[in-house]
Amino acid sequence: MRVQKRLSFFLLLLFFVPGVLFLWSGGLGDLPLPSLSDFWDGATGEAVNTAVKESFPGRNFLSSMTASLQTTLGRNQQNGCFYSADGILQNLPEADEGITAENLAALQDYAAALPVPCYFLLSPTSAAIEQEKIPALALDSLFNQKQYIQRCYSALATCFHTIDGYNGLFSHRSEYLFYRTDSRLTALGCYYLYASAGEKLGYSVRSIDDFSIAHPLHGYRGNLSPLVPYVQVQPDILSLFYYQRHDRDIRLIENPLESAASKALYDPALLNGTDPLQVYLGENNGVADLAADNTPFDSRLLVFTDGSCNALFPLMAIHYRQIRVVDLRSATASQLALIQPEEFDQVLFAFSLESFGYERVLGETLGGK
Amino acid sequence: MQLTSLSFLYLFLPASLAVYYLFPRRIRYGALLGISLFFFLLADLPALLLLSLSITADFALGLLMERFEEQNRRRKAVMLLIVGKNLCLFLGVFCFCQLHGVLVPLGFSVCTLLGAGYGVDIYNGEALYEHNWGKFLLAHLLFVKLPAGPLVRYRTLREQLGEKKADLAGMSGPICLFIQGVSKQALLGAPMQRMYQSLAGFSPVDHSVFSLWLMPLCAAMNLYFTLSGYCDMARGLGGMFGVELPRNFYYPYQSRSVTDFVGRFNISVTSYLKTYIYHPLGEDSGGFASTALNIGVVTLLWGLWFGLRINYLLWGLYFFLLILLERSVWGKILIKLPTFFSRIYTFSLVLFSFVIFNGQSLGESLFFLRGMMGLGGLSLATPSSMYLASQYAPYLVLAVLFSTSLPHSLKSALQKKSPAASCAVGALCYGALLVLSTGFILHP
Repeated sequence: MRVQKRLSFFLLLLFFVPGVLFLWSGGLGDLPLPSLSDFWDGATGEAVNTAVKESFPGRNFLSSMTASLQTTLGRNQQNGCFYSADGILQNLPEADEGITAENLAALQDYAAALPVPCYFLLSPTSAAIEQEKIPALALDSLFNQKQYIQRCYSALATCFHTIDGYNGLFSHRSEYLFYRTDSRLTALGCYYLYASAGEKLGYSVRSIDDFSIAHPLHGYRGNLSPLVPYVQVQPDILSLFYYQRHDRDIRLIENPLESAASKALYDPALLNGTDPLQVYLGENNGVADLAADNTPFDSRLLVFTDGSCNALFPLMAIHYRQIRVVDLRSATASQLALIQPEEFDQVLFAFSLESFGYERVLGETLGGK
Repeated sequence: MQLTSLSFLYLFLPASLAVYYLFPRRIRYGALLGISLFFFLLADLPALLLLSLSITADFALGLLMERFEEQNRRRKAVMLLIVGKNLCLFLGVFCFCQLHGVLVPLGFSVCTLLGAGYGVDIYNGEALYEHNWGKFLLAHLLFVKLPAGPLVRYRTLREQLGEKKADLAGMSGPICLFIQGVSKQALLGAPMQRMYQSLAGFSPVDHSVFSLWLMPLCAAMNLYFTLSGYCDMARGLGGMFGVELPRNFYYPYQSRSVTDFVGRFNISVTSYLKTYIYHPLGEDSGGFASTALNIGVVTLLWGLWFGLRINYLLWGLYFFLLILLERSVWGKILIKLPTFFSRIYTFSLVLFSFVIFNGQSLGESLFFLRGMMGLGGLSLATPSSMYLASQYAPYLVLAVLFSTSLPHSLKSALQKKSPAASCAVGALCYGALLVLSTGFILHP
């Protein structure tokens, strides 16, 4: 009987202690006083449950322990991402045909009206390039990005010069091309895109040895980390490429449509901000210029992009007098109205498949213009 | 509020136990009623109001029936009124929810069927007329049994409300049972549900014979671990508050015949249907046709317990036909078969039944059945199905293992050999299970 009592007491403690600790730490303090309508639609119960879940004592420890156990039991996919200690890869579904058609039509319409040559770069995501990180049995069900890119390129063949970024990345697939915790390309991945684009855009690609590479940020956790919380994934390193030769001075002008104030190519202060990848093109202004002094080149390049490969443009900037980068995700209608493509020598559309196949990133912006 | 939510486990439950045991024994039912009403307030206020009205009407009609003690026709009319009102409410709400695609209000089926049963019981003299509205309300709204039963007769509940003496030693069994229920749902039921949903989301190209066999297996395991988990939680909670509730599942997947399976799966519903329908219809005392009709009615209603869908009706029909065949054709052979073979026979037929149970239509179920047989040009296995199986294999193996009585037998053997060691191991195991379940609720 005494043993039974002790067992009961021990088990009851397991229920009482977390609740008491939760209340002790003021877990319910932030909840507003519920109204009758809150009770009527069940919002009160939900709110209390959410509060307990968010501030549960030992939540991080329990969640990490569970995540480790689940991984040990064979789980390697969560919230549409494959994961392992080597990284997180988004498992993209089949691209949306309707959206793709709208984006392609917007590009065709835009290019048809322009007197300057247009270029199109559609870069794949890590799931297409780093397939060795994906469980073998899952490979067959992956979305075929290569085929999709080829299909888009065929549709644009008459009005665009297309840039094959896929093979450029795939041939270096064992290198650090994609962040382990972010869906975007690393600076090295962008270097290989830069190399792939050289022939079409007409510049002579500089060797990687011509750049000095700094690694100012270790421990970066990118936009995929919250999708796979509590899973142990090695954090990332951010690299900055500096062109060493010919004393080329490339400066960044944020929001050039309103101000001509320029600053250094990379602003290290941004590495401590909410999105350290802003170090490549400054804070989210919609439009940014990369201007090179001391350059023998006179060409000007206009880029429409989705922010997936911002580290690419500082590399390209060594071959141009000016590159104007328009991020279609954040550029406002008034900014877009001020862009005069005729003033440029080339127009490049650089997108990741992650946005091009699923978002009306072109139809609603260029089409609207 | 769900029984497996963290707010219930670590706030509502401890607070309720504290409140319940702080009250003197004679008015504990009042405390339990308050706790149940508060649970309803947090979980489903509209259902509480609707059910309170319905229960109060039943209470008043019961008192009216008592006034007609000597007038049998009037008593019968009142009994029919109680039964009719509850069945109309039950069917009306189910149909409304089905048509509008909303969830059935919390505890609706349990409460209305309990009310209908009460009407019959007092008419037959098998239960006393209730004069205490509070206890009547509590018997219906007792929060522990609302999410998924078990379905209990009114008199069984009434006899127990607030009668049990508080006893810390006697709490260990119910707490363990409750933790067992939470673990069943969180550690096995939920992963099986996710696996089933992934399989159901496959495009026809990704399906294979293998995936079509996996689907009913996952569905069977999900249903068992979810429902029996909730029932264990209800029984455990009941025990903590001094109410003993019956088992609802008794290792149904190791039944030796389909008839046996029906008796072990959702036992309280089977028992309710037997009491209020099968017995009044004359059980199997008539000829073959009459017996078949009686079994048919009960089995079809047993299927419809899960909802008003044609596939649930067909599910019941499938079991009805198998029970008839076992009674009249191969039942005697089954008894002579070695246990292993009779279990394989039953489990295979039960697996097929889940193809019907889970189909959105008869056509879809037939498509799956054809595919399972290797017809329809499907490959034996696709990478997608193999990948999914590899993801969930450990859970599936554990689910199959824990759906048998093997773990319970091991526990009993240890208990017999060394009660003290069994208690210590039990404390550790149940403690670990609760921690693990909490982890899985936090990070599903």
